[in-house]
Amino acid sequence: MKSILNKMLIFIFFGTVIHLIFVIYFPTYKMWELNRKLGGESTINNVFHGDKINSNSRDVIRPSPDLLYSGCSYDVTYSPLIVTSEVLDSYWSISFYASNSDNFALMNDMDIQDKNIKIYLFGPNSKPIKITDGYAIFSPSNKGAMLIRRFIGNEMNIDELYLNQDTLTCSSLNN
Amino acid sequence: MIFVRRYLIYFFIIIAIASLETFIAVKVYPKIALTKNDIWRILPSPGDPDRDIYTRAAVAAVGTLANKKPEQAYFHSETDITDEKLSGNCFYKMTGDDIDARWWSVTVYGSDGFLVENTEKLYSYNSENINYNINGGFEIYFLGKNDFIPEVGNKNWLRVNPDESFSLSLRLYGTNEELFSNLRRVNLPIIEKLRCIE
Repeated sequence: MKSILNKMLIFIFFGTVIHLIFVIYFPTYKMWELNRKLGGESTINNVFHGDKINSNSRDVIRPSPDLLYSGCSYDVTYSPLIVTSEVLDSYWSISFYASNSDNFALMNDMDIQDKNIKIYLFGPNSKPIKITDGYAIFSPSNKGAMLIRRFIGNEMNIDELYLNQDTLTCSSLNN
Repeated sequence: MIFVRRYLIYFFIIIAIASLETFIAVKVYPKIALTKNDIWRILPSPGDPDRDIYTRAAVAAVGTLANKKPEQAYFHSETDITDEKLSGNCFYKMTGDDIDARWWSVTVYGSDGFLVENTEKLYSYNSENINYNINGGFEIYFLGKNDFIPEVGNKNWLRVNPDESFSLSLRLYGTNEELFSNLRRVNLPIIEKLRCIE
């Protein structure tokens, strides 16, 4: 009787360990899957631009049709990433996500005083360098994603939003 | 061979237990974690780095790239004011006051979680493109059957898929900490069923 109980406890222990591993790594898997849908390795440290969302948009569940997206997946293992863009007068935000999908940094147009923004994104093992011409942000993981959201509103300024997409760059410091 | 078979059975028992625990977590988690405000449900900290592992996994399953608070508040609803599931066979009216945020939007999704295909190419209303009423509030009608179209005329209306359930998202951008400390009581739009066609 005691050996059956012990065996059950061992099964429950290992079952719980596998359950927790699944729960912990599921967001990392979803980030990997999202990156694959957006173009895989070719989007690493390269920008991608979304078009206006419609009923054919199937990359992300519950997409927002009120936002025009841009972004890039990043890998800062060997070199920091530099992101530059013009900032809009209407709602514009830039969000950084770690490999487990945590939103570790976020700024919107009201936080940024200048018309243009330059961000240096450092990895957890990056050597610090002095930044005088932009913001320094530290990623808790070597890989992750950056996403820019622009409010479409009544679509009066849709052309301006598309032009803003063209101002976005996302490149490795060593390039 | 018997040795291998025994450990294979052990392996499947462990996987079954892990699956059962995950199933229970999926069922129980929303009841514990979601904050309720009338028809709306919200995860108070969807993108925050200090969220727990279950919140992180739940957000990854339904949205993946969520912002941390207070940048964005993301409310979701699958029921009307009487707590009945939203159905594409019924005609609904949403009523609300202008919402205290930099901008907001109401989006309708089909039962698969994606935007509803429609000839109007209209999937949401936001604080800029909605027609407000004379009191500064707004109404949005939701309908899946063409029979209801004559009744909505030039009013704000969104199409849903007939014969299936649908859900709504209310996104608030540029919110503040005060909203997040008052999630149960903050004034949000409500949706009521007007009538159904079977």
